[in-house]
Amino acid sequence: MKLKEGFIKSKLGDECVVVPVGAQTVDFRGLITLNETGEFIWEQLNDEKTEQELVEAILSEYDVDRETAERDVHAFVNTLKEKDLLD
Amino acid sequence: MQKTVSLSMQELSPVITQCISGGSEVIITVTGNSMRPFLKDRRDQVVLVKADADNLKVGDVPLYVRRNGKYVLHRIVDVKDGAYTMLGDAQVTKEYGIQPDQIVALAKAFIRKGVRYECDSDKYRRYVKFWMGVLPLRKLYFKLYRFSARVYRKLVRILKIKA
Repeated sequence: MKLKEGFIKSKLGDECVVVPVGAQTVDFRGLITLNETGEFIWEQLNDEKTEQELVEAILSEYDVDRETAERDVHAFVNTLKEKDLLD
Repeated sequence: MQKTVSLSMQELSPVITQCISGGSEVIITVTGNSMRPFLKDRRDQVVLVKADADNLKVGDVPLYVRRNGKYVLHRIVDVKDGAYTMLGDAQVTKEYGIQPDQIVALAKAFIRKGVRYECDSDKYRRYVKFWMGVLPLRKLYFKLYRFSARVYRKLVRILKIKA
């Protein structure tokens, strides 16, 4: 899986948000914000990755156990799928 | 998980500009009450699009930036020598000489109490016509309001002295 085109990560003050450039309507009431880990995964998904590869990337970057990483990656990926951000 | 993030227009402006340049419309919540009774602080939204900064008309509501960096959403009440005269719907003191290069975006529609009003709709146009038509009355109303407040304060002082 990979991020759909047309979304840019943008710094707004202290917040990192996902802005759908090119969408007909960009509603700032409904933007997705990313925390640090979310931002990291987002970066990873600029290239084609499997969920397993994302978990490995998290494990090499952050000091977490595999179980937590798997759970968090799964939750995040599901959110991205729900919002239709993945190809 | 939903959370509300308040951002300054300085922070938002580049992203808004990027989105509207690409042809998107951008919805943001308004702050401040200078466009009352139409728009209320933090309750209502404005739908912004790219503005043709040199060719705005009386009645248009652009988002513009003052020379001091403050972002404002007010109505154009006059165009003079290519510069715009601005006035919030709740205001009586006009702001003169807003240049096209200060225009950031144009309001295409408003979302008031959750209901969307397009700026080219009849209902919205009637409101603008009415509200701009009663501008002299608006001044009178504010004058009367200030006058009565002054009289009231004076009376209170007099009564206090008497007591």
